[in-house]
Amino acid sequence: MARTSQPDPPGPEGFDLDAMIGDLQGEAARRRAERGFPLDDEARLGLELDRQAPRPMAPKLERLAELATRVRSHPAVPSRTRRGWRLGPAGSGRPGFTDDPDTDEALFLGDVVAQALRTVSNRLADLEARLRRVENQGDRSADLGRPTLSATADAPAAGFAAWKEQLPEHLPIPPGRVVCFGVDAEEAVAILRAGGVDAYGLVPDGDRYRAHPDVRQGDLRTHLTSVSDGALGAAVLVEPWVREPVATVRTLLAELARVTPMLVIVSVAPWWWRTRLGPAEADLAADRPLAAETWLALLDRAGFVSSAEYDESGASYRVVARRSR
Amino acid sequence: MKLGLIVPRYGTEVVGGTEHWLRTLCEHLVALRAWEVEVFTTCAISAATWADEYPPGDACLNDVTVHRHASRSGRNPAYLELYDTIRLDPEAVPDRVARRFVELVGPVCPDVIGQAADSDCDLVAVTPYLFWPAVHGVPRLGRRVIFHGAAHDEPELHLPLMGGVFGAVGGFSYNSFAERDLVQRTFQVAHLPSSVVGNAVVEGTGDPAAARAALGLSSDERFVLCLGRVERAKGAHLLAELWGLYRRRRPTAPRLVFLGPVHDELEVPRGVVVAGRQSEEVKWGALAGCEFLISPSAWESFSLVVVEGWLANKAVLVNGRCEPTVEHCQRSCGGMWFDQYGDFEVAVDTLLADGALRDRLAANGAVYARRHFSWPAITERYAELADRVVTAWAGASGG
Repeated sequence: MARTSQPDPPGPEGFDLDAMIGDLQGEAARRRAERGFPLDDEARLGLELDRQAPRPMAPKLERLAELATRVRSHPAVPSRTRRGWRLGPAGSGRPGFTDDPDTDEALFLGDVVAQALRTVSNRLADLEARLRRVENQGDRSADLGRPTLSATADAPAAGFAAWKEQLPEHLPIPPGRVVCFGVDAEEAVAILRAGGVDAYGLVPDGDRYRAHPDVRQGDLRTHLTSVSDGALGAAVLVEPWVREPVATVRTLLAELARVTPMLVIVSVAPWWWRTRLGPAEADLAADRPLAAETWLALLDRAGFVSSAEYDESGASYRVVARRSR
Repeated sequence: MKLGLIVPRYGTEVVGGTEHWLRTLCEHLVALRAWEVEVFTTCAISAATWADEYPPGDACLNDVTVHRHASRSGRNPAYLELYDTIRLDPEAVPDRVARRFVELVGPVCPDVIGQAADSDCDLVAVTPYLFWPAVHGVPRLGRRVIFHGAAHDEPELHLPLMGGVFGAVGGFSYNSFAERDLVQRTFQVAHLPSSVVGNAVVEGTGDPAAARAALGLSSDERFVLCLGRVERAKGAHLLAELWGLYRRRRPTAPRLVFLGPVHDELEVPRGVVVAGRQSEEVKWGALAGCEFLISPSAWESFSLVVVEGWLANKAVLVNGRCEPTVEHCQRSCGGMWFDQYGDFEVAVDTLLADGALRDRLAANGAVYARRHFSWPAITERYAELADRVVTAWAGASGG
């Protein structure tokens, strides 16, 4: 089971639950290697624990592979029986997995099939990783040897601050909820709600029981997969995807186009970056926000009609986009 | 705010975690936030039959108005025949088959839905997702619904029919983040208002000495506690086997006590005591007197008993296949979990041997339980959710 939850902040001081669980599992592994540890009982009870637990419906393939691992506690070897060849446990005198030879055969057949499926699954994962690498070749900032624009740590708040008072006027009043994503999502939600807009937010990290209950911890990509078509009135993206390759941004814009007719993007991209680096290099540099012009091009491809404006200082911009088709 | 509640059974005689939670939530919304609450329900007490046991008509229970209606049909055992089909590949089950299944599971009671729909309630809470009243009530009430789905990752959740139910509601009250994650990866509902409200748990008191006497233990005997219904689905039988094996390897280990109504007969191994249903005083006395608490169930959407264990300042050990209870442990640092017998053995050894660790886990859990699951915290989260659902509903309907 994946363990992704974080302890409630502030976490108990000096208490590392993960380390403790790791130690316990290490000790359990050590005991399993000892003579006399009831491996058969553990295997039987483990299967029963599985049988009496919720069965994740997806991914089924991984589940099969996991089950196969358990079944392989007795490696299969072919042997002659009165009814012909069958697969059975290795080693003379070792018990079968169950008392019933037919059930054993079915289990071992399942083992073989599941292993084949696992091979396919691994191959697919490998292909996905290779595909991701190819996609990321468009974002070659790491290879360019160019200066890294990492001095943006304080910039998002400044950029958002320049635009936040004007947020509600550019958004539709419901129908449709408005999702705000990014580091300042909580503030954006508060402003929009004060302006009568039904907004909720997503932030990359933080306490899951937040002071503002309708600002959730999570990433936009996962969130969008669980939003139905056309369900949102708008999306407000505050300093989005600074480190994402363009190919990923395109995918996210396609998802956004599926769920909402309107986007507002507030970001920081000081004009001097491009005068120093040139527009293409600025876009490809690490830790950079995309230039407003790049957004316009990407949004056009995603089916939005958009416009951009910089603030008076030229340090940040806002893009407003409406779906055209 | 005027809240309605559609629930298959309601009353003090009803035994069930979700039903108890909703009843106490309603009562506290009335007491702490001055809400008006009306309940629309059947006359059933038992979920095994849905038989009409309460008289139909109106009643008032702790300032909550209850409207009870006789059911057209209860639970028909023929649903088990369809269940085999559903379990094999729920995503491929046609709606007509799923509807037939839901009808056989019951309780079929159109009057409950009709009265709720005609009521002047601002919002209607509906629970749980898999019975007839929710499947038929939610589509009719639509965005007025706060859905307490109490969802588990079970075949019924993956019926295509359920997409229309979960997608129609106005907002979700989840028992745990694990439940929210499950629902949001199963249905496209993440944009709808939702809140992980959790359950409120109230501390009780009891005398450990009196509890030991009631449980048939000697006056200073150490014991480990498992609280809740003794039934296969709750993992009781598996825990008895795990403990039996543990005692074979640790013959001097303390005994394990099961405290709760016995629904499935349990073959009792050495070192296990089945105490059956006991009073609240005995329960809290046992909690106070035990070494630590074990929750073997893999089918929890919240687990009241785990939080009760922490309120009694006890460490907990939970089934690693149960996401909500593992999540409680992770977030609180108040307990451990096991996946296999080996982990179980090491965890039990450690908890029995290390009193300082037990105290530390218990203290962590108690802080977590009190911070998030007191009634004022719970009702505030719920009221905030209700406001958002009303806002979204008004927006959606152009109001």
